[in-house]
Amino acid sequence: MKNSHPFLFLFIVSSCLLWFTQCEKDDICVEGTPGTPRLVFDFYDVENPETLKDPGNFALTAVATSTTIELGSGPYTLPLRNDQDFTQFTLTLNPGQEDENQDLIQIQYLREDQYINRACGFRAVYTLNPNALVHLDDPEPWIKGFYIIETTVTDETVVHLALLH
Amino acid sequence: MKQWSIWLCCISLSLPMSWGQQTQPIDSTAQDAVKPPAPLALRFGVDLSRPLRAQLDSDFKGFELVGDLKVYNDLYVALELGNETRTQQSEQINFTSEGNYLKLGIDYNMYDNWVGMNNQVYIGLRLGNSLHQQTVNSYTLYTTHHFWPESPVTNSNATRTYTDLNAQWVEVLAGIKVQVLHNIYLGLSVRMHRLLSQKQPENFNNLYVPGFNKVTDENNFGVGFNYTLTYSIPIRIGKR
Repeated sequence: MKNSHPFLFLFIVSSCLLWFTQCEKDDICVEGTPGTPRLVFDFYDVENPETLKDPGNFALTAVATSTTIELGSGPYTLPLRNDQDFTQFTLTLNPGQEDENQDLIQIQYLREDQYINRACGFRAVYTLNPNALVHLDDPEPWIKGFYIIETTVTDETVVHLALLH
Repeated sequence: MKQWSIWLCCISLSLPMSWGQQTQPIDSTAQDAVKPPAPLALRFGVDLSRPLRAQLDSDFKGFELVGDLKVYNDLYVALELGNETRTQQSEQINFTSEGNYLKLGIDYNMYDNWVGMNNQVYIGLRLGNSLHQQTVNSYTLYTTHHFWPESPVTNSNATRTYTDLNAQWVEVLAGIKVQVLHNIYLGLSVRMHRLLSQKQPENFNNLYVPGFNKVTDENNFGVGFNYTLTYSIPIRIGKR
């Protein structure tokens, strides 16, 4: 009445049990993993489209939530909506002053989700429409035009959109 | 009969479900047992833990058929065939994995039985293969800025079924099988497995493989178990 390899048997059983009882290690989404990128834009001179032109004092607000987007210095970032393929913003030149000019603009794009890993899940990347920036109902916009520098928005290291004024 | 009582005691401690043992009177004047070769026996049965789990867990459906065939003294060829459908929420992603698996291998019995009994304490090896598909049901996008309110994505390029996936792995296992009635055995085995190769879906991963269980990003190991009820069909070969 004997087990001819008792230690081997016990080893296998106890390794399995040890594994079961240890909580299965949850993968963690490492901080610093690139997530969904924001659109990066900057202001250029409408007469010299390759030259940067600082607009001075301006404010950027998201229409849907009426939240002001904090701005540092250029280039600037715009978080795009993921539940639809356009996002509306107001760009206000000289807010609160006499010559205040508010432009209501809509950014248009297509979204595609990419798998990162088990812990982080998916992140979105965007492809700007050829008609990436549309003015909504404005007779005198201060943003006179735009051109696309980088059609695919996959990270925030390059400027994607140039706004001309 | 004292030895029988000790035996009964040991079995009932290790397996709470051991019922009566087949008793045979031991003739103390008999020579030391020359074990008659056991007939080649084919056993097949089912795993009881999966249907039970399917009853308790609405996100799980599955069953497993098991079988083994004694080919030599303590050596068995063993097989498990199963099907599983499992839906789970893993961190950010809710997905369903469904498919079939087949495990083939050998068991080696390390237990010396008394005459007329056929219990096993065994170790074994398996090669497993699965054919499965995964469906991404919904997920929340990973963003480091939290400007917009996040709601789960349910229709996008990624919420679809990824078909034609497979995985191969090797298993090492240990288990016991107890003969509770003449032809009926109850068994329990625990397993450790290591993924050998897999066909991953595009833009997703094999997060759960039927037969292998959860696949983690960092290593290729997993564990599993089964609790089986098998029935033995004796096959007598040769002249009698």
